[in-house]
Amino acid sequence: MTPRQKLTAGATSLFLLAGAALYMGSLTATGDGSGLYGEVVLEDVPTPTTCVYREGYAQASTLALWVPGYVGDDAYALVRVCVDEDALDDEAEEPLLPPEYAALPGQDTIPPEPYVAGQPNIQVWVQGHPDAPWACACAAGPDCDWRTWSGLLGVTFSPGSWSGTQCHRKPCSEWAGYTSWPPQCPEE
Amino acid sequence: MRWALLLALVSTSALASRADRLSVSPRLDRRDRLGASSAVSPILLALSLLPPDSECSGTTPVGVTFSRSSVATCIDSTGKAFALAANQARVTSKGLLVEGATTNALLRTRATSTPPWTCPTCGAATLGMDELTSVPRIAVGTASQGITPATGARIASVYVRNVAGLGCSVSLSADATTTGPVAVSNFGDWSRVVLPYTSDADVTIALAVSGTGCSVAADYWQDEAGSIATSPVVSAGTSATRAGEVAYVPRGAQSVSEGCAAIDMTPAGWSGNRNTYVVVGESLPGATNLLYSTTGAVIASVGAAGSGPAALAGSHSSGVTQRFRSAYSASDSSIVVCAGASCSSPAAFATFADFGARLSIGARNTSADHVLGHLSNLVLGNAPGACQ
Repeated sequence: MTPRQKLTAGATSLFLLAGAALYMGSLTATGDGSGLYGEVVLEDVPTPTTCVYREGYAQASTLALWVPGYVGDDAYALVRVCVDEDALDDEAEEPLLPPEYAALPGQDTIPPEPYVAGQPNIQVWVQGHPDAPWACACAAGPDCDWRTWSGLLGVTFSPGSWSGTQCHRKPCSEWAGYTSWPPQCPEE
Repeated sequence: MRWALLLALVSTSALASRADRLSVSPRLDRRDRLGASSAVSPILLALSLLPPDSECSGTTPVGVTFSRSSVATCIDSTGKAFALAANQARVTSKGLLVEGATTNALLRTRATSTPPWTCPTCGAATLGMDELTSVPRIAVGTASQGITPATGARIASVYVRNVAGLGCSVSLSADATTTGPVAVSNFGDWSRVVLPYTSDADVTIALAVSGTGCSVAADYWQDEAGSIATSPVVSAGTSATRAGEVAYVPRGAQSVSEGCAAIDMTPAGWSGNRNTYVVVGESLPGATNLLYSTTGAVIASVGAAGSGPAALAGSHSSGVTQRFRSAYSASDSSIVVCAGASCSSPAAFATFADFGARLSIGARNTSADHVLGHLSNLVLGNAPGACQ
């Protein structure tokens, strides 16, 4: 297992650990009041050194656990998890991906970030949150530029490659058969 | 007479080894017990893993629990493709397909004439591999799409079929790396063109069609990490991921001290990666591998994590079925693993951890150590030689 794989696997394990603690009521998630963002600070875990992002698809009940005030259907979400990379053990850190949070395989689009003291261990942005640190986008109208195209319909644009007032933020990837396509963007 | 014949076979084998004796003696036990109504068969489980009804129906073989949290594509022995829903097993005449997660970086993988594809010579549609969806024809010229995949080893692929012209050929390229020209048989079946390459994170995948009056249909484009082209993952406007699969059978009375496992596996390829054929326990450490390959050139092994204690060097060949078998005995202090007729030297028995309630086949869990191939003819036994 490469260090990168260990990192993402360990992040997932931490995510699950926190999920269990939240479920048992020993931790409380806080949010920004939007109902689309939540964060968790964990105690009694090694001080994180680095943070990774994972997109995934979660059931509404899981999102409600993580995001205060969440009301909605099953949805894609972006998760930022901070871990102590040095504390990760080799094979004991294999991913354990539960059906409640189907994390998509790690993408290299956004590299890991160094942890800054005071940041939460886990942050969750449900699809559609305008303040997610990064997002892909699709064109909801002609004022959305990507590469040599303007207003190209039906295509997901990678982070940093799009601009315009009619670009609509969306997940970068999706599980086959579970569309992430937002209603704001015509498909063709 | 039967005893004499069997004993002669054992004693005259010039290659008779500890492993051979392990595989023969329980068979004698079993035959010896024939007719005794109170005898317990050393075979605990024998499953064909072949289609219980028709190929690609989605029905899981009886006795198997299967899961996958996404849609996936199943291609039957005639080449027809089927889209199967989440948790529907892909079973063909080759057995149960078990694959890991993979992300297709290409978009519009069944619509070559639609942006972000650039295809000046795309024309009238024809039926795709599923015989339901129309896919464009590419006349002499090039279809291409730019992508920004992760760096490293990747493999691009596309299914093609000749629909006009004779003596047509295609070339698949990723920037400067090209495979072909590959001849496309005249009005023949669909065939897959594959291209391993190394990504620099900014790649243009292209298919060039050549030949007088030629036109070629293209379907199920794919660009994924690794060196093995896996089953098609259909994407529309967003890169799509097929979820990892996992299949289980009940552990039943499988003993941690005396037993065996055997399974046939037909790989899509092999890159020296770790594959699980039959394993007990989803996480390491603590799992017991009844049959697996390690990283590198060890094609078959048995034991806890690592390379042994019994291990056999070899390699997989794409599409070639091999039978893997392991046998272990605490009483004989022996453990052995075989690929076909080739068996490892017996190793000293190492105590296995408790097996738990189920054995996974084809993968450790949904995200680890998938075989990327078809599995069939699973046998589990509670005597070392019961699994032939």
